[in-house]
Amino acid sequence: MTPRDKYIRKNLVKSFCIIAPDSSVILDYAFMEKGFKIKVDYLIKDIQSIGITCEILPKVITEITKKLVFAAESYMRILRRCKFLVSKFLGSPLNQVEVEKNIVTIIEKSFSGLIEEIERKRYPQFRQKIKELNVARIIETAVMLELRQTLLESEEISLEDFFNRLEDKFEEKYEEFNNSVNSLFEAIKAEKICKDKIPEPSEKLRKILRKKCEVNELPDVDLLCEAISRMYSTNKWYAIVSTDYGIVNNREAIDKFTLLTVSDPLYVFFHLDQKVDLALNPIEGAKRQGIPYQMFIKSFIPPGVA
Amino acid sequence: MAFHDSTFTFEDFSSEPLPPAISSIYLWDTCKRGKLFFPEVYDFLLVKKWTEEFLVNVVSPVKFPNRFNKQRIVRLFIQRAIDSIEKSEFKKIYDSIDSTDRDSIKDLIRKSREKAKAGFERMINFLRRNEEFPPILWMEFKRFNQVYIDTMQIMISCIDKWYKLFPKTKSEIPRKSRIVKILAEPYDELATDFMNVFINFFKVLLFLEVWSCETEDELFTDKPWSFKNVDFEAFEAVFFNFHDSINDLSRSLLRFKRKEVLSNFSDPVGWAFKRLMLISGV
Repeated sequence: MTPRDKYIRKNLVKSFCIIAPDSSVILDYAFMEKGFKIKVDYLIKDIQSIGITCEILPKVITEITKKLVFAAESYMRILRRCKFLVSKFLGSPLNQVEVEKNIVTIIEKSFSGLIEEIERKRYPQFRQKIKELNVARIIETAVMLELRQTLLESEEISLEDFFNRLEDKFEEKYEEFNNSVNSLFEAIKAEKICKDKIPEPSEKLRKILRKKCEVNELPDVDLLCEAISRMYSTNKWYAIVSTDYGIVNNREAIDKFTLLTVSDPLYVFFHLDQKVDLALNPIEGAKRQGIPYQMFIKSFIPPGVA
Repeated sequence: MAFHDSTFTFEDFSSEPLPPAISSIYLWDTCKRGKLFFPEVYDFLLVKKWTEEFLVNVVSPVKFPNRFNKQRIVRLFIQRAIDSIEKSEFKKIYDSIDSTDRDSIKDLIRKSREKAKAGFERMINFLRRNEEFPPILWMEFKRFNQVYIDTMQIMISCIDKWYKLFPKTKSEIPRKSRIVKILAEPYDELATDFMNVFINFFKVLLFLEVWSCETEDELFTDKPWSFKNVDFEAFEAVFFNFHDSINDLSRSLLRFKRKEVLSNFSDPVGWAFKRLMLISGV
Protein backbone atom coordinates (compact mmCIF):
# COMPACT_ATOMS: atom_id res chain seq x y z
CA MET A 1 0.00 0.00 0.00
CA THR A 2 1.42 3.36 -0.98
CA PRO A 3 1.25 6.21 1.57
CA ARG A 4 -1.38 7.87 -0.64
CA ASP A 5 -3.66 4.86 -0.28
CA LYS A 6 -3.83 5.34 3.46
CA TYR A 7 -6.34 8.12 2.97
CA ILE A 8 -9.45 8.43 0.80
CA ARG A 9 -8.51 7.94 -2.87
CA LYS A 10 -10.03 11.18 -3.99
CA ASN A 11 -9.72 10.68 -7.73
CA LEU A 12 -11.34 7.27 -7.68
CA VAL A 13 -14.13 8.41 -5.38
CA LYS A 14 -14.70 11.43 -7.61
CA SER A 15 -14.85 9.30 -10.75
CA PHE A 16 -17.01 6.43 -9.55
CA CYS A 17 -19.23 7.83 -6.84
CA ILE A 18 -22.04 10.32 -6.27
CA ILE A 19 -23.32 11.65 -2.98
CA ALA A 20 -26.73 13.07 -2.10
CA PRO A 21 -27.37 14.92 1.16
CA ASP A 22 -30.79 14.37 2.67
CA SER A 23 -32.92 17.10 4.23
CA SER A 24 -31.42 16.64 7.72
CA VAL A 25 -28.00 17.78 6.47
CA ILE A 26 -29.54 20.76 4.69
CA LEU A 27 -31.51 21.79 7.78
CA ASP A 28 -28.44 21.38 9.99
CA TYR A 29 -26.52 23.68 7.69
CA ALA A 30 -29.26 26.31 7.43
CA PHE A 31 -29.98 26.32 11.15
CA MET A 32 -26.32 25.93 12.11
CA GLU A 33 -27.25 23.22 14.57
CA LYS A 34 -24.63 23.14 17.30
CA GLY A 35 -24.32 19.36 17.46
CA PHE A 36 -23.91 18.92 13.72
CA LYS A 37 -22.31 22.10 12.42
CA ILE A 38 -18.75 20.81 12.55
CA LYS A 39 -19.74 17.61 10.73
CA VAL A 40 -21.53 19.51 7.99
CA ASP A 41 -18.63 21.94 7.63
CA TYR A 42 -16.25 19.02 7.13
CA LEU A 43 -18.63 17.44 4.66
CA ILE A 44 -18.64 20.62 2.57
CA LYS A 45 -14.83 20.82 2.69
CA ASP A 46 -14.53 17.17 1.61
CA ILE A 47 -17.01 17.61 -1.22
CA GLN A 48 -15.07 20.64 -2.44
CA SER A 49 -11.65 19.06 -2.16
CA ILE A 50 -12.68 15.76 -3.79
CA GLY A 51 -14.84 17.44 -6.42
CA ILE A 52 -17.38 14.62 -6.20
CA THR A 53 -20.73 14.98 -7.96
CA CYS A 54 -23.32 16.03 -5.46
CA GLU A 55 -26.97 15.50 -6.26
CA ILE A 56 -30.16 16.74 -4.66
CA LEU A 57 -32.93 14.22 -5.10
CA PRO A 58 -36.50 15.38 -5.87
CA LYS A 59 -37.82 13.98 -2.56
CA VAL A 60 -35.39 16.18 -0.65
CA ILE A 61 -36.55 19.33 -2.45
CA THR A 62 -40.20 18.40 -1.96
CA GLU A 63 -39.67 17.63 1.72
CA ILE A 64 -38.02 20.97 2.42
CA THR A 65 -40.67 22.90 0.46
CA LYS A 66 -43.43 21.07 2.34
CA LYS A 67 -41.77 21.98 5.63
CA LEU A 68 -41.69 25.62 4.54
CA VAL A 69 -45.36 25.52 3.57
CA PHE A 70 -46.25 23.96 6.93
CA ALA A 71 -44.18 26.46 8.94
CA ALA A 72 -45.54 29.51 7.09
CA GLU A 73 -49.12 28.33 7.10
CA SER A 74 -49.08 27.40 10.80
CA TYR A 75 -47.35 30.56 11.93
CA MET A 76 -49.59 32.96 10.02
CA ARG A 77 -52.79 31.11 10.90
CA ILE A 78 -52.12 31.03 14.64
CA LEU A 79 -50.71 34.55 14.72
CA ARG A 80 -53.72 35.97 12.91
CA ARG A 81 -56.11 34.07 15.14
CA CYS A 82 -54.30 35.47 18.17
CA LYS A 83 -54.53 38.95 16.66
CA PHE A 84 -58.27 38.51 16.14
CA LEU A 85 -58.79 37.33 19.73
CA VAL A 86 -56.69 40.17 21.14
CA SER A 87 -58.81 42.67 19.23
CA LYS A 88 -61.98 40.93 20.42
CA PHE A 89 -60.91 41.01 24.08
CA LEU A 90 -59.81 44.64 23.85
CA GLY A 91 -62.97 45.65 22.02
CA SER A 92 -61.13 48.17 19.87
CA PRO A 93 -59.12 48.26 16.64
CA LEU A 94 -55.50 47.30 17.18
CA ASN A 95 -54.11 50.37 15.44
CA GLN A 96 -55.59 52.47 18.25
CA VAL A 97 -53.96 50.49 21.05
CA GLU A 98 -50.35 51.00 22.12
CA VAL A 99 -48.22 48.08 23.27
CA GLU A 100 -48.12 48.35 27.06
CA LYS A 101 -47.56 46.10 30.03
CA ASN A 102 -51.25 45.32 30.44
CA ILE A 103 -51.29 43.73 26.97
CA VAL A 104 -49.44 40.75 28.40
CA THR A 105 -52.56 39.46 30.14
CA ILE A 106 -54.59 39.95 26.95
CA ILE A 107 -52.06 37.90 25.00
CA GLU A 108 -52.17 35.23 27.68
CA LYS A 109 -55.97 35.20 27.54
CA SER A 110 -55.95 35.01 23.75
CA PHE A 111 -53.63 32.03 23.68
CA SER A 112 -55.69 30.33 26.39
CA GLY A 113 -58.73 30.85 24.18
CA LEU A 114 -56.85 29.58 21.18
CA ILE A 115 -55.64 26.46 23.00
CA GLU A 116 -59.19 25.83 24.17
CA GLU A 117 -60.43 26.05 20.58
CA ILE A 118 -57.87 23.42 19.54
CA GLU A 119 -58.81 21.20 22.51
CA ARG A 120 -62.49 21.38 21.53
CA LYS A 121 -61.94 20.78 17.83
CA ARG A 122 -62.16 17.24 16.42
CA TYR A 123 -59.13 16.07 14.49
CA PRO A 124 -58.98 12.93 12.34
CA GLN A 125 -56.04 11.73 14.44
CA PHE A 126 -55.14 12.53 18.02
CA ARG A 127 -51.52 13.25 17.12
CA GLN A 128 -52.71 16.05 14.82
CA LYS A 129 -54.28 17.73 17.82
CA ILE A 130 -51.06 17.35 19.79
CA LYS A 131 -49.13 18.83 16.89
CA GLU A 132 -51.50 21.79 16.62
CA LEU A 133 -51.17 22.42 20.38
CA ASN A 134 -47.43 22.28 20.00
CA VAL A 135 -47.57 24.81 17.15
CA ALA A 136 -49.71 27.18 19.22
CA ARG A 137 -47.28 26.99 22.16
CA ILE A 138 -44.30 27.70 19.89
CA ILE A 139 -45.97 30.78 18.46
CA GLU A 140 -47.11 31.92 21.89
CA THR A 141 -43.48 31.80 23.03
CA ALA A 142 -42.31 33.86 20.05
CA VAL A 143 -45.08 36.44 20.51
CA MET A 144 -44.44 36.83 24.22
CA LEU A 145 -40.65 37.04 23.90
CA GLU A 146 -41.03 39.71 21.22
CA LEU A 147 -43.50 41.56 23.39
CA ARG A 148 -41.14 41.48 26.36
CA GLN A 149 -38.38 42.87 24.18
CA THR A 150 -40.64 45.67 22.92
CA LEU A 151 -41.60 46.56 26.49
CA LEU A 152 -38.00 46.38 27.66
CA GLU A 153 -36.96 48.84 24.98
CA SER A 154 -39.94 51.09 25.84
CA GLU A 155 -40.75 51.22 22.17
CA GLU A 156 -43.88 53.14 21.19
CA ILE A 157 -45.75 50.95 18.77
CA SER A 158 -49.38 50.10 18.12
CA LEU A 159 -50.57 46.52 18.48
CA GLU A 160 -51.41 46.48 14.77
CA ASP A 161 -47.80 47.34 13.91
CA PHE A 162 -46.53 44.89 16.49
CA PHE A 163 -48.41 42.02 14.84
CA ASN A 164 -47.38 43.17 11.36
CA ARG A 165 -43.79 43.22 12.51
CA LEU A 166 -44.12 39.63 13.69
CA GLU A 167 -45.26 38.70 10.18
CA ASP A 168 -42.44 40.68 8.57
CA LYS A 169 -39.87 39.03 10.80
CA PHE A 170 -41.14 35.60 9.85
CA GLU A 171 -40.92 36.51 6.19
CA GLU A 172 -37.31 37.61 6.76
CA LYS A 173 -36.53 34.24 8.32
CA TYR A 174 -38.20 32.52 5.39
CA GLU A 175 -35.91 34.39 3.02
CA GLU A 176 -32.82 33.81 5.16
CA PHE A 177 -33.51 30.10 5.20
CA ASN A 178 -33.90 29.91 1.43
CA ASN A 179 -30.78 32.00 0.86
CA SER A 180 -28.85 29.78 3.20
CA VAL A 181 -29.94 26.61 1.38
CA ASN A 182 -29.07 28.19 -1.97
CA SER A 183 -25.62 29.15 -0.73
CA LEU A 184 -25.05 25.57 0.46
CA PHE A 185 -26.09 24.20 -2.93
CA GLU A 186 -23.79 26.65 -4.63
CA ALA A 187 -20.88 25.80 -2.31
CA ILE A 188 -21.13 22.08 -3.07
CA LYS A 189 -22.12 22.67 -6.73
CA ALA A 190 -25.21 20.60 -6.09
CA GLU A 191 -27.12 19.36 -9.09
CA LYS A 192 -30.87 19.13 -8.67
CA ILE A 193 -32.18 15.95 -10.20
CA CYS A 194 -35.55 16.05 -11.94
CA LYS A 195 -38.08 13.30 -11.37
CA ASP A 196 -37.84 12.18 -14.97
CA LYS A 197 -34.16 11.30 -14.49
CA ILE A 198 -35.09 8.68 -11.90
CA PRO A 199 -36.63 5.41 -13.08
CA GLU A 200 -39.73 4.47 -11.12
CA PRO A 201 -38.86 2.10 -8.28
CA SER A 202 -40.74 -1.17 -7.92
CA GLU A 203 -42.99 -2.36 -5.11
CA LYS A 204 -40.47 -5.14 -4.49
CA LEU A 205 -37.81 -2.60 -3.58
CA ARG A 206 -40.20 -0.89 -1.16
CA LYS A 207 -40.92 -4.26 0.43
CA ILE A 208 -37.21 -5.03 0.84
CA LEU A 209 -36.62 -1.66 2.47
CA ARG A 210 -39.55 -2.04 4.84
CA LYS A 211 -39.25 -5.71 5.73
CA LYS A 212 -35.57 -6.61 5.38
CA CYS A 213 -33.96 -3.26 6.10
CA GLU A 214 -36.61 -2.27 8.68
CA VAL A 215 -37.04 1.26 7.39
CA ASN A 216 -40.41 2.21 8.84
CA GLU A 217 -40.99 5.82 7.86
CA LEU A 218 -42.64 6.20 4.47
CA PRO A 219 -40.70 9.39 3.50
CA ASP A 220 -37.45 7.52 4.24
CA VAL A 221 -38.53 4.60 2.05
CA ASP A 222 -39.38 7.04 -0.76
CA LEU A 223 -36.01 8.76 -0.52
CA LEU A 224 -34.07 5.48 -0.45
CA CYS A 225 -36.05 4.23 -3.46
CA GLU A 226 -35.04 7.32 -5.43
CA ALA A 227 -31.39 6.91 -4.42
CA ILE A 228 -31.28 3.20 -5.30
CA SER A 229 -33.00 3.79 -8.64
CA ARG A 230 -30.57 6.55 -9.39
CA MET A 231 -27.58 4.41 -8.39
CA TYR A 232 -28.46 1.58 -10.78
CA SER A 233 -29.44 3.90 -13.60
CA THR A 234 -26.16 5.84 -13.41
CA ASN A 235 -24.22 2.72 -12.41
CA LYS A 236 -22.13 4.80 -10.00
CA TRP A 237 -21.76 4.14 -6.29
CA TYR A 238 -24.28 6.29 -4.51
CA ALA A 239 -24.40 7.57 -0.93
CA ILE A 240 -27.15 9.27 1.03
CA VAL A 241 -25.55 11.51 3.64
CA SER A 242 -27.70 12.07 6.67
CA THR A 243 -27.69 13.10 10.30
CA ASP A 244 -31.10 11.50 10.79
CA TYR A 245 -30.15 8.42 12.76
CA GLY A 246 -33.55 6.83 12.18
CA ILE A 247 -32.22 6.08 8.72
CA VAL A 248 -28.45 5.98 9.35
CA ASN A 249 -28.88 3.24 11.97
CA ASN A 250 -30.23 0.91 9.28
CA ARG A 251 -27.27 1.52 7.00
CA GLU A 252 -25.78 -1.99 7.23
CA ALA A 253 -29.00 -3.71 6.22
CA ILE A 254 -29.60 -1.18 3.43
CA ASP A 255 -26.10 -1.77 2.10
CA LYS A 256 -26.43 -5.55 2.38
CA PHE A 257 -29.72 -5.78 0.47
CA THR A 258 -29.33 -2.93 -2.03
CA LEU A 259 -25.65 -1.80 -2.02
CA LEU A 260 -26.71 1.79 -1.35
CA THR A 261 -24.49 3.61 1.14
CA VAL A 262 -26.28 5.55 3.86
CA SER A 263 -23.93 7.40 6.13
CA ASP A 264 -23.25 10.04 8.71
CA PRO A 265 -21.17 12.85 7.10
CA LEU A 266 -18.14 11.80 9.16
CA TYR A 267 -17.80 8.42 7.49
CA VAL A 268 -19.32 8.82 4.05
CA PHE A 269 -16.12 9.14 2.02
CA PHE A 270 -14.51 6.23 3.83
CA HIS A 271 -17.52 4.07 2.95
CA LEU A 272 -17.32 5.15 -0.67
CA ASP A 273 -13.60 4.45 -0.66
CA GLN A 274 -14.44 0.88 0.36
CA LYS A 275 -16.90 0.60 -2.52
CA VAL A 276 -14.20 1.71 -4.91
CA ASP A 277 -12.00 -1.02 -3.42
CA LEU A 278 -14.32 -3.63 -4.88
CA ALA A 279 -13.13 -2.60 -8.35
CA LEU A 280 -16.67 -3.21 -9.56
CA ASN A 281 -19.51 -0.93 -10.50
CA PRO A 282 -22.87 -1.25 -8.69
CA ILE A 283 -24.41 -3.54 -11.32
CA GLU A 284 -21.39 -5.87 -11.28
CA GLY A 285 -21.37 -5.72 -7.48
CA ALA A 286 -25.07 -6.61 -7.31
CA LYS A 287 -24.59 -9.51 -9.75
CA ARG A 288 -21.73 -10.87 -7.70
CA GLN A 289 -23.72 -10.69 -4.46
CA GLY A 290 -26.92 -12.03 -5.99
CA ILE A 291 -28.85 -8.80 -5.40
CA PRO A 292 -31.89 -8.64 -7.73
CA TYR A 293 -31.17 -5.07 -8.85
CA GLN A 294 -33.19 -5.42 -12.06
CA MET A 295 -36.30 -5.95 -9.96
CA PHE A 296 -35.74 -2.72 -8.02
CA ILE A 297 -36.90 -0.62 -10.95
CA LYS A 298 -40.27 -1.00 -12.72
CA SER A 299 -38.83 -1.17 -16.20
CA PHE A 300 -35.10 -1.50 -15.95
CA ILE A 301 -33.01 -0.20 -18.83
CA PRO A 302 -29.29 -0.87 -18.39
CA PRO A 303 -27.17 2.32 -18.36
CA GLY A 304 -25.97 3.34 -21.79
CA VAL A 305 -28.95 1.71 -23.52
CA ALA A 306 -31.21 4.42 -24.92
CA MET B 1 -56.69 52.68 -12.68
CA ALA B 2 -57.66 52.91 -9.02
CA PHE B 3 -56.35 49.94 -7.13
CA HIS B 4 -57.91 48.47 -4.04
CA ASP B 5 -55.91 45.81 -2.32
CA SER B 6 -59.04 44.00 -1.13
CA THR B 7 -59.45 42.51 -4.60
CA PHE B 8 -57.21 41.63 -7.50
CA THR B 9 -58.34 40.72 -10.97
CA PHE B 10 -56.85 39.71 -14.29
CA GLU B 11 -57.56 43.25 -15.48
CA ASP B 12 -55.39 44.63 -12.66
CA PHE B 13 -52.68 42.16 -13.54
CA SER B 14 -52.85 42.89 -17.25
CA SER B 15 -52.41 46.63 -16.75
CA GLU B 16 -49.46 46.11 -14.42
CA PRO B 17 -47.23 44.06 -14.05
CA LEU B 18 -47.96 42.08 -17.23
CA PRO B 19 -46.64 44.49 -19.93
CA PRO B 20 -43.46 45.58 -18.10
CA ALA B 21 -42.78 41.99 -17.05
CA ILE B 22 -43.05 40.79 -20.64
CA SER B 23 -40.83 43.67 -21.72
CA SER B 24 -38.20 42.65 -19.12
CA ILE B 25 -38.07 39.04 -20.29
CA TYR B 26 -38.03 40.07 -23.92
CA LEU B 27 -35.06 42.37 -23.30
CA TRP B 28 -33.09 39.65 -21.52
CA ASP B 29 -33.79 37.29 -24.38
CA THR B 30 -32.64 39.95 -26.84
CA CYS B 31 -29.36 40.38 -24.95
CA LYS B 32 -28.86 36.64 -24.68
CA ARG B 33 -29.26 36.22 -28.44
CA GLY B 34 -26.83 39.08 -29.06
CA LYS B 35 -29.50 41.07 -30.91
CA LEU B 36 -29.19 44.25 -28.88
CA PHE B 37 -27.93 46.41 -31.78
CA PHE B 38 -30.46 45.29 -34.37
CA PRO B 39 -33.04 48.10 -34.73
CA GLU B 40 -35.77 45.66 -35.80
CA VAL B 41 -35.85 43.92 -32.40
CA TYR B 42 -37.51 47.05 -31.01
CA ASP B 43 -40.30 46.80 -33.57
CA PHE B 44 -43.45 46.23 -31.54
CA LEU B 45 -44.75 43.64 -33.99
CA LEU B 46 -41.78 41.47 -33.17
CA VAL B 47 -42.34 41.95 -29.45
CA LYS B 48 -45.93 40.77 -29.93
CA LYS B 49 -44.89 37.72 -31.90
CA TRP B 50 -42.27 36.82 -29.31
CA THR B 51 -44.82 37.24 -26.50
CA GLU B 52 -47.22 34.85 -28.19
CA GLU B 53 -44.55 32.17 -28.50
CA PHE B 54 -43.44 32.72 -24.93
CA LEU B 55 -46.94 32.46 -23.49
CA VAL B 56 -47.67 29.20 -25.27
CA ASN B 57 -44.87 27.64 -23.20
CA VAL B 58 -46.44 29.05 -20.07
CA VAL B 59 -49.91 27.73 -20.42
CA SER B 60 -49.60 24.28 -21.89
CA PRO B 61 -48.84 22.26 -18.72
CA VAL B 62 -51.15 24.10 -16.28
CA LYS B 63 -53.98 21.99 -14.89
CA PHE B 64 -57.34 23.58 -15.62
CA PRO B 65 -60.69 22.81 -13.99
CA ASN B 66 -62.70 20.28 -16.01
CA ARG B 67 -65.39 22.85 -16.75
CA PHE B 68 -63.10 24.64 -19.20
CA ASN B 69 -61.99 23.85 -22.71
CA LYS B 70 -58.26 24.17 -22.36
CA GLN B 71 -57.45 25.02 -25.96
CA ARG B 72 -60.01 27.80 -26.07
CA ILE B 73 -58.76 29.20 -22.76
CA VAL B 74 -55.17 29.15 -23.92
CA ARG B 75 -56.09 31.12 -27.05
CA LEU B 76 -58.15 33.55 -25.02
CA PHE B 77 -55.38 34.08 -22.46
CA ILE B 78 -52.78 34.82 -25.10
CA GLN B 79 -55.15 37.15 -26.92
CA ARG B 80 -55.98 39.10 -23.75
CA ALA B 81 -52.33 39.32 -22.78
CA ILE B 82 -51.38 40.63 -26.22
CA ASP B 83 -54.25 43.15 -26.11
CA SER B 84 -53.10 44.48 -22.76
CA ILE B 85 -49.52 44.88 -23.97
CA GLU B 86 -50.76 46.67 -27.04
CA LYS B 87 -52.85 49.05 -24.95
CA SER B 88 -50.05 49.73 -22.49
CA GLU B 89 -47.58 52.60 -22.58
CA PHE B 90 -44.89 50.10 -23.57
CA LYS B 91 -46.07 50.09 -27.15
CA LYS B 92 -45.32 53.82 -27.35
CA ILE B 93 -41.99 53.35 -25.60
CA TYR B 94 -40.92 50.62 -28.03
CA ASP B 95 -42.11 52.73 -30.97
CA SER B 96 -39.93 55.60 -29.81
CA ILE B 97 -36.78 53.57 -29.09
CA ASP B 98 -33.60 54.68 -30.73
CA SER B 99 -31.45 51.56 -30.83
CA THR B 100 -28.31 53.67 -31.37
CA ASP B 101 -28.84 55.40 -28.07
CA ARG B 102 -27.70 53.48 -25.01
CA ASP B 103 -29.67 55.70 -22.67
CA SER B 104 -32.87 55.04 -24.57
CA ILE B 105 -32.42 51.28 -24.03
CA LYS B 106 -31.44 51.74 -20.40
CA ASP B 107 -34.49 53.90 -19.91
CA LEU B 108 -36.68 51.14 -21.32
CA ILE B 109 -35.12 48.61 -18.95
CA ARG B 110 -35.52 50.93 -15.97
CA LYS B 111 -39.15 51.68 -16.84
CA SER B 112 -39.90 47.99 -17.27
CA ARG B 113 -38.29 47.28 -13.93
CA GLU B 114 -40.01 50.06 -12.00
CA LYS B 115 -43.46 49.36 -13.43
CA ALA B 116 -43.17 45.61 -12.97
CA LYS B 117 -41.89 46.08 -9.42
CA ALA B 118 -44.86 48.32 -8.58
CA GLY B 119 -47.25 45.73 -10.01
CA PHE B 120 -45.62 42.89 -8.06
CA GLU B 121 -45.82 44.91 -4.86
CA ARG B 122 -49.55 45.42 -5.32
CA MET B 123 -50.00 41.72 -5.78
CA ILE B 124 -47.96 41.03 -2.66
CA ASN B 125 -50.10 43.44 -0.63
CA PHE B 126 -53.28 41.91 -1.98
CA LEU B 127 -52.18 38.37 -1.19
CA ARG B 128 -50.94 39.34 2.24
CA ARG B 129 -54.16 41.09 3.23
CA ASN B 130 -56.42 38.34 1.98
CA GLU B 131 -56.28 35.48 4.39
CA GLU B 132 -58.02 33.13 2.00
CA PHE B 133 -54.71 32.77 0.09
CA PRO B 134 -51.91 30.65 1.56
CA PRO B 135 -49.36 32.97 3.26
CA ILE B 136 -46.55 31.20 1.50
CA LEU B 137 -47.76 32.84 -1.70
CA TRP B 138 -47.06 36.46 -0.71
CA MET B 139 -43.75 35.48 0.86
CA GLU B 140 -42.72 33.74 -2.33
CA PHE B 141 -43.88 36.68 -4.46
CA LYS B 142 -41.73 38.92 -2.32
CA ARG B 143 -38.69 36.75 -3.00
CA PHE B 144 -39.63 36.73 -6.66
CA ASN B 145 -39.76 40.53 -6.69
CA GLN B 146 -36.30 40.72 -5.10
CA VAL B 147 -34.62 38.33 -7.53
CA TYR B 148 -36.35 40.17 -10.37
CA ILE B 149 -34.92 43.54 -9.26
CA ASP B 150 -31.45 42.05 -8.75
CA THR B 151 -31.44 40.43 -12.19
CA MET B 152 -32.59 43.61 -13.91
CA GLN B 153 -29.82 45.52 -12.16
CA ILE B 154 -27.29 43.14 -13.67
CA MET B 155 -28.82 43.72 -17.10
CA ILE B 156 -28.49 47.49 -16.73
CA SER B 157 -24.81 47.19 -15.84
CA CYS B 158 -24.27 44.82 -18.78
CA ILE B 159 -25.85 47.28 -21.21
CA ASP B 160 -23.27 49.86 -20.15
CA LYS B 161 -20.45 47.48 -21.01
CA TRP B 162 -21.94 46.10 -24.19
CA TYR B 163 -22.88 49.47 -25.62
CA LYS B 164 -19.22 50.43 -25.66
CA LEU B 165 -19.10 48.13 -28.70
CA PHE B 166 -21.88 49.91 -30.50
CA PRO B 167 -21.37 49.54 -34.28
CA LYS B 168 -20.45 52.71 -36.12
CA THR B 169 -21.97 51.52 -39.38
CA LYS B 170 -24.87 49.26 -40.26
CA SER B 171 -22.55 46.72 -41.81
CA GLU B 172 -20.74 46.35 -38.50
CA ILE B 173 -23.87 45.22 -36.69
CA PRO B 174 -23.55 41.42 -37.27
CA ARG B 175 -19.88 41.32 -36.23
CA LYS B 176 -20.35 43.46 -33.13
CA SER B 177 -23.45 41.49 -32.24
CA ARG B 178 -21.47 38.28 -32.34
CA ILE B 179 -19.02 39.80 -29.87
CA VAL B 180 -21.89 40.84 -27.60
CA LYS B 181 -23.29 37.34 -27.81
CA ILE B 182 -19.94 35.96 -26.63
CA LEU B 183 -19.79 38.55 -23.86
CA ALA B 184 -23.30 37.56 -22.82
CA GLU B 185 -22.42 33.87 -22.56
CA PRO B 186 -21.52 33.98 -18.85
CA TYR B 187 -25.03 35.32 -18.28
CA ASP B 188 -26.66 32.52 -20.21
CA GLU B 189 -27.70 30.47 -17.21
CA LEU B 190 -28.89 33.57 -15.39
CA ALA B 191 -31.02 34.59 -18.37
CA THR B 192 -32.44 31.07 -18.69
CA ASP B 193 -33.27 30.95 -14.99
CA PHE B 194 -34.83 34.40 -15.29
CA MET B 195 -37.05 33.25 -18.11
CA ASN B 196 -37.91 30.08 -16.25
CA VAL B 197 -38.91 31.95 -13.13
CA PHE B 198 -41.27 34.07 -15.22
CA ILE B 199 -42.76 31.02 -16.91
CA ASN B 200 -43.55 29.65 -13.46
CA PHE B 201 -44.79 33.02 -12.23
CA PHE B 202 -47.26 33.24 -15.12
CA LYS B 203 -48.33 29.67 -14.43
CA VAL B 204 -49.22 30.57 -10.86
CA LEU B 205 -51.20 33.59 -12.05
CA LEU B 206 -52.98 31.70 -14.77
CA PHE B 207 -53.77 29.01 -12.22
CA LEU B 208 -55.28 31.56 -9.84
CA GLU B 209 -57.30 33.06 -12.67
CA VAL B 210 -58.80 29.85 -14.01
CA TRP B 211 -59.60 28.45 -10.58
CA SER B 212 -61.26 31.74 -9.55
CA CYS B 213 -63.78 31.62 -12.39
CA GLU B 214 -66.90 29.53 -12.76
CA THR B 215 -67.61 30.17 -16.43
CA GLU B 216 -65.56 31.03 -19.49
CA ASP B 217 -67.24 34.44 -19.68
CA GLU B 218 -65.69 35.36 -16.37
CA LEU B 219 -62.18 34.48 -17.47
CA PHE B 220 -59.66 37.29 -17.95
CA THR B 221 -62.08 39.97 -16.86
CA ASP B 222 -62.58 41.89 -13.64
CA LYS B 223 -63.67 38.82 -11.68
CA PRO B 224 -61.68 38.97 -8.39
CA TRP B 225 -59.20 36.24 -7.66
CA SER B 226 -60.20 33.73 -5.08
CA PHE B 227 -58.68 30.63 -3.55
CA LYS B 228 -61.95 29.04 -2.46
CA ASN B 229 -62.39 26.46 -5.22
CA VAL B 230 -58.78 25.64 -5.86
CA ASP B 231 -57.62 22.06 -6.34
CA PHE B 232 -54.89 22.15 -3.70
CA GLU B 233 -52.88 19.28 -5.13
CA ALA B 234 -52.75 20.99 -8.52
CA PHE B 235 -51.81 24.25 -6.82
CA GLU B 236 -49.00 22.54 -4.92
CA ALA B 237 -47.47 21.33 -8.16
CA VAL B 238 -47.57 24.81 -9.71
CA PHE B 239 -46.36 26.50 -6.54
CA PHE B 240 -43.48 24.07 -5.91
CA ASN B 241 -42.13 24.69 -9.41
CA PHE B 242 -42.38 28.44 -8.87
CA HIS B 243 -40.53 28.19 -5.55
CA ASP B 244 -37.89 25.98 -7.08
CA SER B 245 -37.33 28.31 -10.02
CA ILE B 246 -36.85 31.28 -7.65
CA ASN B 247 -34.22 29.24 -5.83
CA ASP B 248 -32.46 28.46 -9.12
CA LEU B 249 -32.38 32.13 -10.10
CA SER B 250 -31.31 33.13 -6.64
CA ARG B 251 -28.44 30.64 -6.88
CA SER B 252 -27.44 31.94 -10.30
CA LEU B 253 -27.40 35.45 -8.89
CA LEU B 254 -24.94 34.36 -6.21
CA ARG B 255 -22.38 33.87 -9.00
CA PHE B 256 -22.60 37.53 -9.97
CA LYS B 257 -23.51 39.22 -6.76
CA ARG B 258 -21.63 37.52 -3.99
CA LYS B 259 -23.37 38.48 -0.84
CA GLU B 260 -22.73 37.13 2.57
CA VAL B 261 -25.60 34.92 3.56
CA LEU B 262 -26.57 35.93 7.04
CA SER B 263 -28.93 33.72 8.91
CA ASN B 264 -29.79 33.80 12.54
CA PHE B 265 -32.47 31.68 14.06
CA SER B 266 -31.79 32.47 17.69
CA ASP B 267 -34.19 35.41 18.06
CA PRO B 268 -37.79 34.57 19.10
CA VAL B 269 -39.28 34.53 15.59
CA GLY B 270 -36.22 32.75 14.16
CA TRP B 271 -36.51 30.17 16.92
CA ALA B 272 -40.23 29.69 16.12
CA PHE B 273 -39.44 29.33 12.41
CA LYS B 274 -36.86 26.67 13.16
CA ARG B 275 -39.08 24.78 15.59
CA LEU B 276 -41.98 24.76 13.14
CA MET B 277 -39.74 23.45 10.37
CA LEU B 278 -38.42 20.71 12.63
CA ILE B 279 -41.78 19.54 13.98
CA SER B 280 -43.53 19.66 10.61
CA GLY B 281 -43.06 15.91 10.18
CA VAL B 282 -43.35 15.99 6.39
